[in-house]
Amino acid sequence: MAQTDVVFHQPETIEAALSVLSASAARPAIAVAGGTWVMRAGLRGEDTDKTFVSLAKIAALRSIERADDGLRIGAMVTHADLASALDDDPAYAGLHRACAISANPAIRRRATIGGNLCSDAFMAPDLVPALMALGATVNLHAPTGERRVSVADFLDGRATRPASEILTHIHLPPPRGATAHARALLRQAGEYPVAVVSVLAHCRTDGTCQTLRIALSAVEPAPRRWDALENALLGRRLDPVAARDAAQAHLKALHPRDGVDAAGWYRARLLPQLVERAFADLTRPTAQRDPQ
Amino acid sequence: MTVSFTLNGRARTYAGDPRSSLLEVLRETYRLTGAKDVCGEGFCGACMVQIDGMPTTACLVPVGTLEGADVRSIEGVGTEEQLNPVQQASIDFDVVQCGMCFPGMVMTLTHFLQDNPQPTREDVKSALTGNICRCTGYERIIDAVMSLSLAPKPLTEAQP
Amino acid sequence: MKNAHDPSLAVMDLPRRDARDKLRGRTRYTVDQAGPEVLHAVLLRATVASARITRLDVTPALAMEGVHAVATHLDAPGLHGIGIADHPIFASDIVRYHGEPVAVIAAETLALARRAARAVIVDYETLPPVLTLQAALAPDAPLVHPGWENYDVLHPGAARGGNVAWEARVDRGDTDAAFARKDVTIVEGSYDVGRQNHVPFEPRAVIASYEDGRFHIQTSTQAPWTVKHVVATVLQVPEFAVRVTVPAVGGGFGLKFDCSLEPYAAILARKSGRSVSLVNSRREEMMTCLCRENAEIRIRSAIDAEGAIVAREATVLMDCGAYGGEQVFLTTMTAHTLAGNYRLGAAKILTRAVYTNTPPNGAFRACNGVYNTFALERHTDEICAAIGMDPFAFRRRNVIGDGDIGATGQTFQGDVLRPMLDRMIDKYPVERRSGRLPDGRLYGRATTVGTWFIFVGPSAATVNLNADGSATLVTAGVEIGSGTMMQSLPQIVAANLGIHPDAVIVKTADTDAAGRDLGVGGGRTTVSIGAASEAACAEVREKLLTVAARLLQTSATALVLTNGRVEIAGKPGSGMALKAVIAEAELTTGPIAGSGAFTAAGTTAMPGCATGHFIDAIDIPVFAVHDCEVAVDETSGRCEILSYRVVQDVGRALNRRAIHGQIQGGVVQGIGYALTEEVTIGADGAIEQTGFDTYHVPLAGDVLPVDFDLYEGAPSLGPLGTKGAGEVPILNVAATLACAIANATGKPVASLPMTPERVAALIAGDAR
Repeated sequence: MAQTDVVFHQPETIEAALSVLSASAARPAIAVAGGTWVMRAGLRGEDTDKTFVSLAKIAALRSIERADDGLRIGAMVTHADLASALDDDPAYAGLHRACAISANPAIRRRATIGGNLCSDAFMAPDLVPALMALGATVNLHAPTGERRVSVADFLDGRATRPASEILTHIHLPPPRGATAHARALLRQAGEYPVAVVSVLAHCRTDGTCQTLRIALSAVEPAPRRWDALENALLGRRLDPVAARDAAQAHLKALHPRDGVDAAGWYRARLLPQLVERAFADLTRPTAQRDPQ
Repeated sequence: MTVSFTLNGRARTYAGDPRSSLLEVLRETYRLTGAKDVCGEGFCGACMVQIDGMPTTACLVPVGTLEGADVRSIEGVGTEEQLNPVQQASIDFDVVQCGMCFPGMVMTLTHFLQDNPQPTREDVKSALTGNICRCTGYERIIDAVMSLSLAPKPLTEAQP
Repeated sequence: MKNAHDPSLAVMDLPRRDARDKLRGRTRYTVDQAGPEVLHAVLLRATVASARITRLDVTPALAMEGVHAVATHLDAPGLHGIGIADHPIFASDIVRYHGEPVAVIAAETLALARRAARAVIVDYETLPPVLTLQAALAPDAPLVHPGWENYDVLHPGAARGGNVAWEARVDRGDTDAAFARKDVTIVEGSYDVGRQNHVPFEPRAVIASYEDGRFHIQTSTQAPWTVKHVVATVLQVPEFAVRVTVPAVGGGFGLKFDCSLEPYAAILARKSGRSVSLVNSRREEMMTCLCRENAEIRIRSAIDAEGAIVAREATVLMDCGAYGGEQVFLTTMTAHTLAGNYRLGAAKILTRAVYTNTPPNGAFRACNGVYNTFALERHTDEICAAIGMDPFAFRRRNVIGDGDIGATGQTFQGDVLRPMLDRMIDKYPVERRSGRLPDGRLYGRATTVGTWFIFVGPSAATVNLNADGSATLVTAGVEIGSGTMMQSLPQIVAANLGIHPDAVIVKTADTDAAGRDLGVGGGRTTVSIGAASEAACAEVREKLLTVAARLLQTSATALVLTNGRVEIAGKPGSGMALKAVIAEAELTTGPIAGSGAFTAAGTTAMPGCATGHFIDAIDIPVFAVHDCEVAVDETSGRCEILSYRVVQDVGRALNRRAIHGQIQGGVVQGIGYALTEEVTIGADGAIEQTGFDTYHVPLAGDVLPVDFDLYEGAPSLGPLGTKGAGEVPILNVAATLACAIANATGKPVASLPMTPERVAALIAGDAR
């Protein structure tokens, strides 16, 4: 095969990957992580004739490192890997749940953290709102240098990212407080959720809420923080019923989408119940948490 | 470029388009048609194979990523003389119908039982979240799997 | 002599001979057959729902290197259909649905065929489509078939016109007089249901070749003789020029009861001189599935003071999509469902199959019986509420029994439904039908009845007795997964010949070897092919026993066939091995074979009662009683099934374990239909659920073990008293779940599927 016909690269360093991605070529190049999104491009009616730049052999993207300033998760870490790394860490209960129950077992073993963040047409990720609740930042590496942005900012600019940029890792600050993740499905498991609520709450000794992040997925075209609800509940005690009522009162701040799987009104209807479940989880020991 | 990997214990070198899915390569290049192309999206599990021992939907794996990998498809499970326990239990409990999903079921369940020798019915169902069957309604497959559990069985449990 | 054998010999839990290879991935379904020598074909499908084709130019595709043949409407002039020949296999000047084939291309590879399909030039002048039943029946609706009057009518007698493809009526007794009575309570209900996709794991698929002036079609079908007929019809070649063989079929559920992809592959094979494979992609399969149709049902009943149903009127609108298809036939079956479960004083039932610019629908396990049973049983519960009668007591009082008159005036034999109801309630007494569970969810329970039929009709069988004492059964039956060809047929033949079922070779379907058969569907295989096989065995037995009687110097009537031997009755060991008798026969009269045939009994209707019906009455009714308990979450509308129980009329259970498999699988398919499987059609006329991410079939976590009880002994024309057991388990699942959800929520459940969203909307009411 002539050099110009190379359609598959498997570089071993980030720099090598960047050089392939940024080289001008007849055929567009695409970074391939777990493959679970890219390999379905044809089904979505997208162009499939792209040069694959597999990130699978870049060891630096596969590590999970704990440090004083938090947790650094390589972009090529799979959902299953992350779930087992977080298994007994109650501070990351919400994120663990997001990784451990999304999709199905075989997909969780392939689908990566970075891939989940970069799939801009995918409207119902579990992982992304869990990362937003934790205050995660995303590290991006381009030939021009590295940058670090919040998940929310990353999502905002996602559709217009340069092709020659690689998401290398996610950084989570040391969690202060408790986290929970609640999702609504139409069946028991094995599908994309129709609504997701992921929460981090840190309370003062008097029980009032000092830090609160509530992130949504599947409700709007991209995951987002529900700041109106956060503001309403900040400074109050964690009370699942009160949180549900507040959620009901702040649905107006949202623009739930109509999809083939569910109508917008229905996604909105589910949210107060999901908020209640998430808050109930925050206030009880991990072992007794809601299996939903 | 070529990709060298082990397929059902034999060394193989693939020279086609490395972006092709492993499923396509198994079915078309090697004519191993046990893995089925059903949904092409990772939902149904009919194309489940084991890559380095882990059940994986072959439809979503670019074959180029398999350099050095150990791939096992349903054709590499059990022998004519001795089926693997999941296969044998499926016969003993008469659970097969059209059969299209069973190669994938066997791949998933075989791995699952290695890690979970004493599962509950709910555990088995969770493990089958990514394996759809349109014929059987699942429960009799679970009966067959539960017969392989090393956990002590209540006397009332249904026997084949 | 014919019934000299003991029917109980046929009863056993015979394992499946095909399970081993299926579990090992060795079984080659049609989708697995295409080797490197085969060309791959792709259909170019219309991307609009209604249009005039102003330009179709295939030359750019044909010019591509590696493209071997392209075909269009010019290659297939014939029209086919059921009742009316309204269906061309390609759109010619008019496109009638999104996804309708416009051209087909065969090339060296699938990828190349796809590229070539994109190179075909098609220009459309779009027309306003009719996408719903209301739109199709509006006074000024555009006609889906402007030339409907010119079509050949294959089954005369029905009213047709405009967008009404077919109309079937039943008028039995004077309903007007009954509804005018002062002493009756009148209850009315309206119901609507969506489509259901079969989702067979093996999509529709075919490989065709053309050799010595004949087509050889290997296909994933339930009905090889239908394929043979339709291919010949649309290609305008003699039927004898088409041979159909059928490899293992990876699921059918009724979808493959019609001809579909076969003619395209046949044309390309003749044009290219090569074998051509055509396989629907999953997306095509989702978007052009011959679904269980969407429908609207209106029922009105008059009930007297004692709780008797003195009259019923019903109107059912069935969406047949762009072409009539099976829905034309199925208009007949409305009457037998809506006027079949209960004794009715008078009945007036009108069913219309209606054309729309949507993908054509088809047959799906128990067909319109499933939603008509849903509508009828919800209506029945509404009657009970209106007259203040317990739903179980009402059903027990009114279910059809011995000597009662069916929809079209036939007389039913035997009390079946009532003892089945008693069996259910004795086993599971009703404590409550609604309430609230400790976890806050709403509890509901319901018990329903269902009546369906065994679709009989012509079957042929040949049995060859082989030199080693084994037998070969040759029929056009197909193993679609239900086990009939692997279990009940060899069990029947073996019992007739006194051999083990393992010694019965079952020839896979080949229309060059086996006689005409209506196809595998409608619960007919065990009954129709089984009866033909029994008849063939009777001839074999007669020939065999004649020779044996001579050898054993006794009369044939004194002989029995058992354990691979001919014995003098009551004297085990007195006779001889079959092999010895066969060897003697070869020397004297030649090898032993028998042929048998079966067809519908042709039960008659009351004269003048039914119009536009394909069958007057049902030869073999089949009954089911289902019961379930549900828990409904008020916010999400999600329904969890707490228990599910079935009492099923099986006539005689030949293989209890296999029937268990059919019941578990059929009920779960019904659960999907009732709760999660939704097909919607967008403004562009395309089906919106294009894959498994949006079309939600039940997964392992959504199901529960179904408790079942087989009711044996009801009258049946089937061999050994059997009835088909594979079709009917789905019949009253949606009905039972709907009645239970209505009981739980106190809301008038009137639409399927009862998705969480739809149930939540019902609970929320205007608050939403």
